[in-house]
Amino acid sequence: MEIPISKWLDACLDRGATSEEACARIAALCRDVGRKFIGDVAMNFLSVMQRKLLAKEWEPRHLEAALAAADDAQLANFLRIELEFHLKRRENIELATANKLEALLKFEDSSGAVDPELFGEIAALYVKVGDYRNSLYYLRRAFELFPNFSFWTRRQAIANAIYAQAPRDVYQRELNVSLAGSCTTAFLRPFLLAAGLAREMKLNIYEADFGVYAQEILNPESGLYKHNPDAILLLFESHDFNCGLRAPQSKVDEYVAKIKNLRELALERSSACLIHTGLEIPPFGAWGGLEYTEPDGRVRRMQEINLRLSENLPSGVAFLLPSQLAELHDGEWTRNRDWYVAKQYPAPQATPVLATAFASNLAAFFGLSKRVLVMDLDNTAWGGVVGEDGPFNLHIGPTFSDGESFTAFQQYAKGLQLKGVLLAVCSKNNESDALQAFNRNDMILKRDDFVAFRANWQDKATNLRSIAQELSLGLDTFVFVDDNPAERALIRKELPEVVTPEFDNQHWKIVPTLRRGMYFETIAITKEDRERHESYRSRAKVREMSTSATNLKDYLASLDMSATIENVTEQNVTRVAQLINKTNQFNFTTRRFSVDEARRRSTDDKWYCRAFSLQDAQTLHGLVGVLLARKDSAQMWTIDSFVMSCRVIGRELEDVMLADVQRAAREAGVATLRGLYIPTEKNEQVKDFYAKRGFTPGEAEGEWLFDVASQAPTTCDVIRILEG
Amino acid sequence: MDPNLAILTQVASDILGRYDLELTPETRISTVKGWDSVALVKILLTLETQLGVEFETYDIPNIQTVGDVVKMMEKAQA
Repeated sequence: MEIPISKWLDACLDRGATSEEACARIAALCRDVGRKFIGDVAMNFLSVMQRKLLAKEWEPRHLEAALAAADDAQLANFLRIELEFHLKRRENIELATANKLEALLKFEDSSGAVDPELFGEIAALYVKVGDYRNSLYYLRRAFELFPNFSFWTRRQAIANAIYAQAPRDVYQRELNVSLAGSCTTAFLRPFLLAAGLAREMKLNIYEADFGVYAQEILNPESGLYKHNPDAILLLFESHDFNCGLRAPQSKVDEYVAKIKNLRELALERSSACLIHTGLEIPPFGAWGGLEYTEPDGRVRRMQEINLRLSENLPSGVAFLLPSQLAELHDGEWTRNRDWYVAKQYPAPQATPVLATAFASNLAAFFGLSKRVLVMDLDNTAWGGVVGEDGPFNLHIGPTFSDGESFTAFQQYAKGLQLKGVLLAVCSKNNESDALQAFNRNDMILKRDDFVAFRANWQDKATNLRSIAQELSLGLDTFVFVDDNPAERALIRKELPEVVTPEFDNQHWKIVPTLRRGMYFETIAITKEDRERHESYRSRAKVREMSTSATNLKDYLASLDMSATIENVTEQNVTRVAQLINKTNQFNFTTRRFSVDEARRRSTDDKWYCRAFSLQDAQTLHGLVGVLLARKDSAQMWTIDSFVMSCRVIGRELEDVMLADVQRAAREAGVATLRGLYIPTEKNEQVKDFYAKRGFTPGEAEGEWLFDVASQAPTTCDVIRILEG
Repeated sequence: MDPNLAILTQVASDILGRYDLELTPETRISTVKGWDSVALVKILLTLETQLGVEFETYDIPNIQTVGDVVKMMEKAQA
């Protein structure tokens, strides 16, 4: 039931609202609205009520009247919280705020309510008490529910407050972003800020004036470059390709060449990555279907432009196809009126989807995409309960009306796996029952598709922690899908860093929810992405073996490992940058930079840039280590970036890497090799690395020095070296 | 307080990030800190979503006062 707010307000805000009649009217309205109360309309009603109470146009007795009339427990609870707040706020606003926050959290806990308005309100209260980490958490949860445009707009103040006041460490990344477009970007900006927050990124946005993207890119002195961007976002729309009903080939060629040139120029002049949209398909026009079927029809031409702009994308560029995004938005993608009035594209209501797409691609460039999908089994991966119904009565595939939806989920998960996302199972089941189900030949997913498999009766938070440990990945890279609201609530409570999407308890909504969340965006599929699953699988096997191996060296030797060492070149620079930006644990300095910056260093003779690949008898692990040393002087080199993928931790490749730079330094006649350690929450494991390998502490904090001429270099006798 | 003015005050407070906003129909938009033409369009678009109405094409330069916006709201809901 949707009640327009105007009706509400007509009824309860007219003059004489202090009368008994008004109280009765409020009571009746509260009854009407019932369980819809924590919706958009109701929150508006609440805030107007707050305003009236503040202005003393209303008194607490009006709220009491409403409370008395509320026969819905949820509604009554809400009103009571509101009433208490107003009674207390006159005496002590801090205390009243703290109490209200506590009451709402309790309410969330007891009711299991999942409502963006509730989370938004909690986030706002957390801002008021100065707890930005929790505020960010609740804001993220609200955004995970895909609130509408009106929510995003009203809650902008929270995002702004977080931006202005929160300390740096609540974010995972802080990025400079330059934004330009052929339309106005004024609306996109606030949504982009918010979508960034939902991904724990602080975006410092420079916004070019309306429509001057070409000038900004052509002029090397422009604000776009002066902002020193980590990323450039360009928003194009169909009016930018100015043509009538028919467009000659020459016009298409000209437009494509123009955009490609600008793209190259922007990449050349900055070290930013670039994310840009293609053109949207304009609304059904005067020529209708002919606009597509005529060889020079404008819709056909725009498709051609999108195709040509998106083929062979240079590294460091991501392309967003508007029609794909429009499909994620339930509503119109463009709106004539807003284009005429404000040069607004896309439609305001669609802007959050676009902002989410930009933010997800930024997250992908800077290593914040999610990396693991953990799934429950019963009624999530298939219909039914395998322990009760038996493996052959599960609903899967076209024989059952709901079976195809489970198949679709498995297919989606398989698709994620093929682009490098890891899959894991976390299910309350006997392991043998769960495994039997995967033996069915109509299961899309097989046992071997999972890098971790927890079918047991332990609580799921414990299981998730152990999966994270086994994979050496942070829980903040996990997405957890479970049909059981109680399990989801448990994970949220115990492991708030895990993304736990809601899907109205309808299994067919799981896939749309995951799609819309865009948690797993990937910029390009590298060879390593395709091999990652295999690599982790063999790691799991290695781990099982290693617990029984008595002698670690013998065991490592038995793996028959060999490493390939190469310079950083055009062939591997994309992967090198990916590794630098994604690696958190085996990473000494956690420096992050773009593909372009990596490329620049690789061709600069002031840098020694090496990439390391590993293989063993069972698996090609691919490029898993990067070491960049800066040649400070003829006397001293500094190891600036030293990262290794967590899937090869414990195999001594790190010693191969260190030995390589030590050898190079010696050959160059360098006296001192300097190592750095900058501690973060996640790189504790490399803290003593240099000390254990003969480095001595330098003067500065985290500085380690190695005397190249007199000290013995590190050795590794379990990995053979193949020169690249 | 006029209900439309109450809603407008609420929406404008949220968008301008101010909690002390006091608007009357006579308030000139140009005198409200932060309320530029972009903010005005944002406010109008948000009002449309919240009221569930659609304004006619609006003529931004001619929207001078808070009362002008309130009139638009009334007309759209009539």
